[in-house]
Amino acid sequence: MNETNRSLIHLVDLKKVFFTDEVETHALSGVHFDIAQGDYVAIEGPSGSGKSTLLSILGMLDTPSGGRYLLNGEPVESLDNAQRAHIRNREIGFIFQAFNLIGDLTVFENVELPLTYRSGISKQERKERVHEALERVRMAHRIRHYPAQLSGGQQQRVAVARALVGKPSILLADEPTGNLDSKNGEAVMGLLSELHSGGATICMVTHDPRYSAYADCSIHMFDGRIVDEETLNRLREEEDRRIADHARGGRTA
Amino acid sequence: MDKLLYDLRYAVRTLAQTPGVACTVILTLGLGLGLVAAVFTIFNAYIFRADEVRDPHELFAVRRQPTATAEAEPFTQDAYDALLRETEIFTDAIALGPQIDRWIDGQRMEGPLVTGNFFQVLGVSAALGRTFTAADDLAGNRVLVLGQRAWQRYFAGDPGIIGRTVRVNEMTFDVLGVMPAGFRGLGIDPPDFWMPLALAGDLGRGADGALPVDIVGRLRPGMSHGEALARLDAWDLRRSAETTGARPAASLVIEPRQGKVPLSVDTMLTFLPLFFAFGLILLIGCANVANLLFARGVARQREIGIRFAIGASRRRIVRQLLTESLVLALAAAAFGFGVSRLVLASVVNYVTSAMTGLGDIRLALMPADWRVVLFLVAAAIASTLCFALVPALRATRVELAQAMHGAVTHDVRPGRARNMLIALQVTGSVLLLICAAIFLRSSWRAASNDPGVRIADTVFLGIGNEQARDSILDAVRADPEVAALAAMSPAALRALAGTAAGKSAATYRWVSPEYFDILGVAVMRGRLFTPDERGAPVAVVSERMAQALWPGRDPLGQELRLEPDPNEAEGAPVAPAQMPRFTGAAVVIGVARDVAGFRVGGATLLAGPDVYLQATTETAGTSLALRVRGDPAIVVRGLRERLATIDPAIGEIVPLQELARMEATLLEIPFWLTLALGALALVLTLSGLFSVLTYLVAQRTREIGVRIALGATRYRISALALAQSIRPVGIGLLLGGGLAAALGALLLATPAAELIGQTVRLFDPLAYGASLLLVIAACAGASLVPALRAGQVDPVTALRRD
Repeated sequence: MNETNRSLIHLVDLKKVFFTDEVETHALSGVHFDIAQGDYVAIEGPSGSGKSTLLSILGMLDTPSGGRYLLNGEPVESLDNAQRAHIRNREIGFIFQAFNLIGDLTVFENVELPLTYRSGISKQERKERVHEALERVRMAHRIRHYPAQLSGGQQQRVAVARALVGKPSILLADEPTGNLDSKNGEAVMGLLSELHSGGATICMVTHDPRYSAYADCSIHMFDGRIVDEETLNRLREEEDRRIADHARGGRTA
Repeated sequence: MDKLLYDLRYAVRTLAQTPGVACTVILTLGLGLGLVAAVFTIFNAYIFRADEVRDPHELFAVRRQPTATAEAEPFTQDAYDALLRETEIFTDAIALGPQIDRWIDGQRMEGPLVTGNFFQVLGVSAALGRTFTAADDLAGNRVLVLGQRAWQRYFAGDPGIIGRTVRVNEMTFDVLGVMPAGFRGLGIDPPDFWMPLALAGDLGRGADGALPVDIVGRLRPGMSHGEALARLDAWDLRRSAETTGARPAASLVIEPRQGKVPLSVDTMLTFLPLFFAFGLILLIGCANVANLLFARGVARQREIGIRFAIGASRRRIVRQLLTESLVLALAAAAFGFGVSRLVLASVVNYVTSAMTGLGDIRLALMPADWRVVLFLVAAAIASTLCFALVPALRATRVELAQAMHGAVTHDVRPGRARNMLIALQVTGSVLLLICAAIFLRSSWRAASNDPGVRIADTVFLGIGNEQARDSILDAVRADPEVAALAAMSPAALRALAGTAAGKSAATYRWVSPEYFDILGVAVMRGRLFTPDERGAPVAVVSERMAQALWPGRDPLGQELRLEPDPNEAEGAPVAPAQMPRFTGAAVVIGVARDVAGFRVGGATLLAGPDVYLQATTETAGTSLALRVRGDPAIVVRGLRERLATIDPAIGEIVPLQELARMEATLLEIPFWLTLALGALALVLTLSGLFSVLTYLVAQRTREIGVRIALGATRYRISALALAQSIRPVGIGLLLGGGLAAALGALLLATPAAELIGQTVRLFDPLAYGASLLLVIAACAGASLVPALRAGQVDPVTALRRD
């Protein structure tokens, strides 16, 4: 993380607790970190470590149970739904594992969608910005196609264009290669690197070390906490050993 | 605007991509909207729609206010002339004489007598030919103008009608013109014709200026209502002093006259049940659509989640969902417009052609104007809020983080809202079907009622003009289609019947001896009147009367005293003034079988009487009962034509069978109406129930697979699915039955309770039971298919489902 720049995202002791019936699950337990303008951060960790929960909170799809979250220096953890929607629309661009394009809309309309939720943008300006975004991901030639007519890689490029079109402060990518083969995965990662080189701030969740290598730095998560890489590896090994012991115990019994 | 257009464009595209859903919604809502629009079209035609005349807001009628003790006295033709001459309240005014009915070229038609300036003042021209001028309104000018309906119906729209001579009873008239379709002549229903007021004398209505008329004028520009009334009052005071030397008996009122029914509490009470019954279908349709949208909302959670993720606010997404629904509702309104026209055309056609038992019903297809369109649009918007708002709010209550990962918040169990909607639908269906069953049973009862008199070949003939009695009797006696005739007082008269033991209320009727044979009233004991007993104090009593006055004794030879009943005015049948009242003693010579009679519109005809006194066909005020040969309806038509040449104002000639069936026929109208609505409601309810259960079973397929894997039998799975409908249907049955009973109790608490109670059995247990059973069976049938389908789920496939 680039500490010389002003923090775009500043998390202090962030917590998230889920309550299901009488069971209390701590998805995030005191997470601290900063993301500065122009950073490319990868969040790594095994399944259930809290990385997707963290990304949901960063993207303001979810609210923290405790702690502070400052976006561009403004506290956002206690905003109401409409204010959060406003910030999502202007400051955040999402790239999902499952692309999440709307099947009823064409490529153009999918990319245009975030702009339709803004006021003060003329139709002409919307058109120009959509074209520009699609040019950047090299999908301008598929403008009239529907998502179902595209390959997975193409769909994800359209999703990236949709994330870019609103000129957000940060791109949040949740396992962006999870639904792609390795060739298309590499292509998408290449596209993100290209965007980063152009100045984009990116925060990506992945469990694949190959892809986290594209980022400037990685945050490792385990059991809702940020740990360093060494600790993460040790904890993983301990976990694996415990599972193996348990399995052996079960067989001997 | 840009966003609205975007929402509209997207809405149209989304709906085009799901044509099944769109069609279902449009059909369901369109049906409901169409039915409500049909009622509104009638309401509009009578309440809002002014007649198609020039500047109807300028037209005001003058009349006298009725007082607490006296009826409003009508204006005369002389008063009309004086008002025109002596005041400047109106720029011009017209006089409408009484409505008369005449046989015109063999068809019975109705219309008013009007002044020659009638059409000019109203500012309407003829569609064909010309209207009256002042020159036409002179005695001896036998001309008429036809209404559009009469021209179409009785003259087949013959364009050569202008200048043709038509026979009006025994006279001939020239047809001057035909009025356009929308013109009603300031009435509610369009007349068949208009004739000049100057012909009142020729038409037997008097020509001495005392003819009662309605005065309608065009208020002078700039004159306020209050000023006009003040001037009218001053004129009335002056005129009254000059003509009678006294003050007017009642004050004058001046009120708008635009050819529509004033909007009053009574009119609202008339239309309210119709709006309620038809509105129920719309409500049930809305419930169906809401259920569909609930399901669609679940299916669209991912899309909605994406929209949230890219920054759409909840209000924005709700607006978009409502736009989609509004597009559907507006399309449904357009379809509903067609439905309303079709429904009205069918009803008008049915009432005018199939319900001949009610006579010539002057009903035309009500036009649909901008108000109907506006009503439909407003109803579509209201319906949208009704069926779409809650589903839209629910659909936008998503767990964003989950939705982004493709996990939707499954709403698989029938939630409270869904149960409530099904219960509401069942309630409406039960209510309407119970009403239909009550009307059906009442109609059957009325149709199967034995009046106790011979009706198949009996015809009633009223004699309105005593001067023509002899000629009419001669004509009837000479008519080969009349086998026999008898005299009878048109209504039973009330009296106090006294014996040595005491007095009791009784009714008596003047009849000639042939009456008993023609009406098939058997004499059980004693004998009938003989011709030489004419005027003698002898009487035939009914069995009931004999038993009441002389229990256990022989009534024959007993003396019966009849004296005026001081309570006769209260609810007494109206008998002609010239009908003699009997006071004195009479000796009982016979006992006749009791006659139950039959009910028509709240009155019981031919019931009783308790005492028969002898009359002859020459007795003034009596009507005739005829036994006819052949089809009574055909005989009646011939008699009307022939007798109208003797007396243009010949009274009613009606087959008794027609009268006897009238109550049943009248009850058939609400029966068919509620049956059609109830059937529609049930079909919509069943389709809703079926869809919801099918959807729930589909959503729970994985759970069903797990249950089967855990050992549940197919029977138990089916029962589980079936159980989901039991609660809402049960609640609907209870509410529907309860609501019907509550409505019944409410009706019995109104002043019309007695009449209602005699006409329909509001708490008929068979009607309730049969309706509830029908709904239970239908709902069970609709639930059974998805329930059985649930039992057929393949656990292996179900567990492999994503």
